[in-house]
Amino acid sequence: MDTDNTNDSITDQEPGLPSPPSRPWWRRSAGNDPGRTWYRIICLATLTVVTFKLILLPIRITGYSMFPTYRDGQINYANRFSYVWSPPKRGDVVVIKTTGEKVTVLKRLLGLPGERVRMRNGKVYINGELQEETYIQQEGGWRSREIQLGPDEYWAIGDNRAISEYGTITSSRLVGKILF
Amino acid sequence: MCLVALWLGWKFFHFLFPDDTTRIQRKLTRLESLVSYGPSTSPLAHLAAAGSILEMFDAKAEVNIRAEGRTWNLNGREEIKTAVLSSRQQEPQGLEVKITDPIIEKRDDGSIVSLATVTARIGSEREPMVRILEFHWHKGDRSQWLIARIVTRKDLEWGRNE
Repeated sequence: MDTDNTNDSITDQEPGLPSPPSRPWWRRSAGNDPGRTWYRIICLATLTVVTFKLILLPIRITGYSMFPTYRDGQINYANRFSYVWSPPKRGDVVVIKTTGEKVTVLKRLLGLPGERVRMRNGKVYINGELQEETYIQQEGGWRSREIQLGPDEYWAIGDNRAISEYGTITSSRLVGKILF
Repeated sequence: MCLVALWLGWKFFHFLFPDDTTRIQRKLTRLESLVSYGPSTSPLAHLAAAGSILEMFDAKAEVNIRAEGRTWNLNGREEIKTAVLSSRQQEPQGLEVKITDPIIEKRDDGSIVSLATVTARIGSEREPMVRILEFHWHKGDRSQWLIARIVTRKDLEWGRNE
């Protein structure tokens, strides 16, 4: 059965009435209340800049020196505020700057200021005590003489001991702790 | 309007007559593009690139670089040229080099030391080499900045005593 539903259409206009004037694109894109829309855009932009310039540093992991904890190609963030109120702890995965922040290095902090660090057959000894490290897959064969860390020095190494470099860094080179 | 014109004029003047820091930055960018090459680079292009790289070095330049368990100790342009050409032959899959975050320090009118993070990736390998290199520059006869020495600083240990 045919039904005539042309009268249901809400877009129908009465003949003879002028169509409403079309608004320019910049008016239409700003919605019914352009002031409010611009206010929202400015707030969002400010929040994004503050978050990603001052609080979080976005990083893309390249390579396998932190494998299996972090894999090649993963995206993560360094929290720049993580060490403002508390000092770094043993086992923290940190982002370390090189000569700047365009290229950073991801390592795990194991030696803390004032401690003695040594590597024997890929195992780390802090003040002569062997460290329990459940996150590593390959210990590698690194050996190093015992070093005494200074008052502002930390000792860092990657989780993939077979290929990762290790060494001492000062706190000024710590960008922050990795977020997740 | 006047201020904008002044600012543009100042920018243009600095573009035409850059200061030493800008010159070194430009040289590092040029070095980056010369050292990088693709997998299908012709032998002639390798030779031309090696020639251009050598023009950036002083005749008595020294290179001491440690990478991938190997150490290169090169003295003079000839040794550098041989090393550049042989490494390009050994790694035909290409090399991508990026020189980032240079720190440029002018020692005196005739010498500059710059530190930069150098990331090198051979072919499509996912594990890049990251090194902090120290470039020593000195002014040549024609007031050109030439590389006098390149040494490696371990990426994790540089700057401990600075």
